[in-house]
Amino acid sequence: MSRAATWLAWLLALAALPALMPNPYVQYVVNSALILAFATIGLNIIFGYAGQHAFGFPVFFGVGAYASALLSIDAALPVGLAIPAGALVAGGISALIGFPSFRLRGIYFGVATIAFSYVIYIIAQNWVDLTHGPMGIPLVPPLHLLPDRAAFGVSRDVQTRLIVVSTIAIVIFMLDRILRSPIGRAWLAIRENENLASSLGIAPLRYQMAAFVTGAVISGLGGGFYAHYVGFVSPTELGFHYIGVVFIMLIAGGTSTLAGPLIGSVVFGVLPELLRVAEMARNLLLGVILLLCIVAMPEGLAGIWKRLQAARARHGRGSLDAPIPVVTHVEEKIAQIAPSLSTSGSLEIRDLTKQFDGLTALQDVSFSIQTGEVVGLIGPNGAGKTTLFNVITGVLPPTSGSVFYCGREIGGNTPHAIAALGITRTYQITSVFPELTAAENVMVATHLWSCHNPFAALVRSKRFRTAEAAVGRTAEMALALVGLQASRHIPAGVLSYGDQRRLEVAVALATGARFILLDEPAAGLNAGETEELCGLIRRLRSAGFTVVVIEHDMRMVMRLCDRIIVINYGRKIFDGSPKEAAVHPEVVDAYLGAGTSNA
Amino acid sequence: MLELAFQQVVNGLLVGAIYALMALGLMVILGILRIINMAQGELYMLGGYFCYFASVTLGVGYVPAIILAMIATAGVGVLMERLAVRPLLRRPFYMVFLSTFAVSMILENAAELIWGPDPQNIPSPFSSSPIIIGPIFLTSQKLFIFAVALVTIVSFAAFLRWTRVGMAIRALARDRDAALLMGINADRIQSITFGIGAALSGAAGALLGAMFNVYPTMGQLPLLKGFALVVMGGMGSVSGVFVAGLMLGVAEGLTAGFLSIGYVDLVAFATMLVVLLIRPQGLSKWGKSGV
Amino acid sequence: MKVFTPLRMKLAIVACSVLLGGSLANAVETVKLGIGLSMTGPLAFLSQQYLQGMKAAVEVVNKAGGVGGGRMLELVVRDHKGVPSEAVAVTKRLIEEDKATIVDIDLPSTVAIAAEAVTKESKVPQIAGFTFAPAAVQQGNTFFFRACTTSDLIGDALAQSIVADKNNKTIAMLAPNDDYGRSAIKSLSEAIARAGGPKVVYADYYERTQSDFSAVLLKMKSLNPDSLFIDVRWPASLTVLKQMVEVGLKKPLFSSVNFYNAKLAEQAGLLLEGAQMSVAWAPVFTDPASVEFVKAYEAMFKQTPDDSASLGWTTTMVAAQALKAAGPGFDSEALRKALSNVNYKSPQGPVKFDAKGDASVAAHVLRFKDGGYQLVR
Repeated sequence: MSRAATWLAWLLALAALPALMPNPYVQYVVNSALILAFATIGLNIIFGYAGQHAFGFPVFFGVGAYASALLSIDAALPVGLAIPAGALVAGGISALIGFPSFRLRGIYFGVATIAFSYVIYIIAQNWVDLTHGPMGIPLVPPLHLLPDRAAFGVSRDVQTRLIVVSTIAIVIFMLDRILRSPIGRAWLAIRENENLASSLGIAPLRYQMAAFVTGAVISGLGGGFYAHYVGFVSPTELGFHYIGVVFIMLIAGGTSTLAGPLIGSVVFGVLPELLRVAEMARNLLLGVILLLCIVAMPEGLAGIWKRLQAARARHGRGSLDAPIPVVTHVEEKIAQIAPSLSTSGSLEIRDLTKQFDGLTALQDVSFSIQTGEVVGLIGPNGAGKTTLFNVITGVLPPTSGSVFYCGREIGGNTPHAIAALGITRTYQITSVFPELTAAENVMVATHLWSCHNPFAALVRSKRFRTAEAAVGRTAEMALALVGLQASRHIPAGVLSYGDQRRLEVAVALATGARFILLDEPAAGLNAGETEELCGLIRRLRSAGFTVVVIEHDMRMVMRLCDRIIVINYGRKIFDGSPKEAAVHPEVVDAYLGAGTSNA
Repeated sequence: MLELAFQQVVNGLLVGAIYALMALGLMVILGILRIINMAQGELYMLGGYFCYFASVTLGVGYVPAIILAMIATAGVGVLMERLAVRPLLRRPFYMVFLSTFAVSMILENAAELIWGPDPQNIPSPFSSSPIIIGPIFLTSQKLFIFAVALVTIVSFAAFLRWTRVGMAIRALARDRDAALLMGINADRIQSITFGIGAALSGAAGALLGAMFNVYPTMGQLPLLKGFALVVMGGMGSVSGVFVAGLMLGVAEGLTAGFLSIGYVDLVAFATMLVVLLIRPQGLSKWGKSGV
Repeated sequence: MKVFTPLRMKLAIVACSVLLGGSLANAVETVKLGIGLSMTGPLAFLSQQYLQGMKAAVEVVNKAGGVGGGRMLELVVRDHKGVPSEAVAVTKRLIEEDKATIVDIDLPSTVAIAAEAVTKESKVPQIAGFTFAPAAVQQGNTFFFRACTTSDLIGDALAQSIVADKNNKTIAMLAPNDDYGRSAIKSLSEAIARAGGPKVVYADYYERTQSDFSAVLLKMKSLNPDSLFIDVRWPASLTVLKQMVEVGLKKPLFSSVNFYNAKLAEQAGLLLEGAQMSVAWAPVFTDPASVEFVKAYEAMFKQTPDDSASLGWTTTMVAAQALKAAGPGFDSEALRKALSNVNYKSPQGPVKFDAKGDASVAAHVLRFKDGGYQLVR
């Protein structure tokens, strides 16, 4: 059964089931759980997919509730308009909160979101003129699908559920489309490895904010439904009780899945009411159940479902994959793997200095690299080579001096802006997106030239589909080039070290950059693999790429590079051909040692 | 006006020391073990209830009750670590966030079932008559609590700095794998650290409970303020948290005095947000920025 | 031989009683009162007392034969934790699952108001016995009846005491930051203004989590008001009184039923001296209804009832009276009519609902003097 059909069947069941029990209490409980699913889905976007631990996030559910209630009462907006308007208000407030919060790293970000959510709660409690304070807002107008007279006896509970389930279906449908587009891939990339994502041209703040605001709008939408269903809004909806409940629903349901939030909301929305039989010990039982869920079911309920499916697939018809497309002679088509971001340009470094709190990593370094060269950057450990790469790619700003690419000053730019100009790099310590498959890793790298317009993604426009097809082809070609096609569905974190190194190259090529910086690409490779690597670099040169390589394998450097730049203690001590380098006294002294003329 | 401000400041310092003590327990676990313990507030609450149990039901004296409370709370902390934290060691850190959240629900409900939901009073041997120094009104109880908090904080800092166990804890905080390689029994040290963190917050609960009262939900707000303090003070810095605590107490006192009580709780968070945005590594020189 | 020997007579009587009693037991029907209270949370203590008052009333009603037609009264109690959305769920459950005939969702006022949305739609009578918010009768729900006093009436009663002292020119106020506290200060300020009384120089609201009041007390001290309205719940009330001494603040005190508390009197006795407080009821009342209530309560719980318990008693008695009048059968419209016609002399005063369903029972004022509470009005 196709995915869409499965979804449709489940949603219909969800909508219809409680109708079998026309008890308004049961209807109320199920409807409340479904409404809360909006908050869970919203949280999943920022927490599960984008990987940002915004612990205070569920507050936007309450914000949407308040906004919608106040708009419908004080501004006399019809309920059908108040609810989406309230969602937009929640989105707006989230933008105000998100912007400063994202400046913070790690746990501070999460704590800041908790702080902001508490601030909102206190404002609701005390700004009585606006929010009615602790008295709350009673008599919130109800949501009707049909006017009472024409309702044909369809109770408001059923009407609400139909509206809610339909809206959830639409939201999930749209979310699915966004997730299977460069935007969704960008979110996952930021979650997995923000620095790598940035160097591939994904602006972290933009996508974090997008996830934050989108999640807030969805949560706020749910809040609006809630306000007009329960008929009463009070500061409790903004309190920590709800924050905890929504997190329980998400994590026990399964993060980063479409179904997880829905499953979690239904189960953990209904469960507390079922536990009313033990009225006084309800929270205790809920806590115990939650604890057991966490310890025993890390992927949540949706994870169990996925495992069942995977098991069925294994025992069933075998692989569900389409056959692997055959890619031939890709070595000759390197330049076609990805469209070029810019014509390969020349890089000029002028008097570059980089200081860290008293340590001078680079001192007045100057050199230039022409299009089509393969340049080796060598020197002892700690000489400043990786720092130089970091400055060029925007990871670090220069303390003084300039970096020009294609004649434009790029020193101090952000990594993603520099990536957009056509410069890409690999890292000294292998850097991949661990939970994404090899193919997905490469697809992320196509971000800069793919179609990341959300509207195009939603409607699957022609432009979008063409771009996605190109992305798919690029992934196949890049993986074929480095010999990883067979591993396309394997999570990158599971790949062997050598395979990860190859993946990094594939990723670099998929960006469309023509200026490639490789940081110790041969580290940890055996002789055969190193030979392969050299072959690849030579082919890159023939295809018109410019390559700069940091390496310690002298044999490789001498044979491969057109030119060698030697850095020692942050200073450039040599710039010339490999032959000259081998006999240059300072170079020999600092790095090579005698006896390298045999290299 | 100036007199009022001065009095508020002195008052704030006293309250702040207690905040610091509470936050210290949180800091031990969060700053050193990098574990977000959502049940820390409940450990604080249990400290208060164990003190109540010891002094009212068992009839022990005021100070022994506090010590007993600390030990009992430490025990709960160790148990918690074993059941809800250690099994999740290799999982993403938000799993521990959630499991400790589950524990907090369990502990709060358990306290409700055992002692009832109404606030209870712990009899205190101090009189209410004020000690008047110039225009400033103090009480002997507040001074006692301030002294105890100060002594505890200093002892803990010394313990961390100069004892072998303290060094092991700090090593574990820096790099778990390296600490293991050095022969440090990481599991045991983690248990001990959890126990100490629990005991510190439990002490705060016992001291505060004696001054005011204990009730099952009393740990919710101190948890949040504790977070704010740990963040402001710089994770892993005892002196930073202490200074942040004092500053918070003073800021709250001035807000209550010159604005409105309703916004007092806002102060902790507003201040923290301001500090984070201006100086992300916290107030302490030795604080680390980010995790 | 005598057929009707004494022994055989006794046996016969016993046998008949057993048979009769058995059949009566089988024939006993119960009418359920659905009660939603804050069994956990800050209002738990008040809820507990309120419930005990109800239980005492149920005992008395059932002993006297129930609510007519052999039907006994039964309480079904659920916890809404003081959260309005939970109260909605609780109300629905009480109506649908527990089959309650009348519901009472109380503590705090917000839950009663939230529940009104449900009872209005389901057309189930709702009596509120502890809901002081004026807004409760403004929801357009004809099935809602408030059997107690209101914050406006409480304000009126206390205002009279406040303005009685001509030297009282300024007053500072403190109340909880929830709907009760906000209503209390609003109603009292308005009542004082109407009576031409002192100026309110300061009004503030404390959060439930507040434990240290020295800052706000110092602020009040610096303003030097002539009197204070301190409406603080137990046990923060004890802290406040103690801290008033610690900061050197001593003024005539006014409060609400929160200061009418045995533990507070016991532990803070001297500090309460002279304080006046508004209450719905107190054991010092001597009217027959109060006496009956106190007797029944003490018999059941071996302790003196308080204000909250009396409210629970009244609510139950009002429900019982209406049920008796409406007769057997569960016609909610008949029940609603019966409720609107209720005329019950409760310990707090006469309960008679107006067109809006408001009984508007007047409040009273107590003074604490020489270790005990006395009635002022």
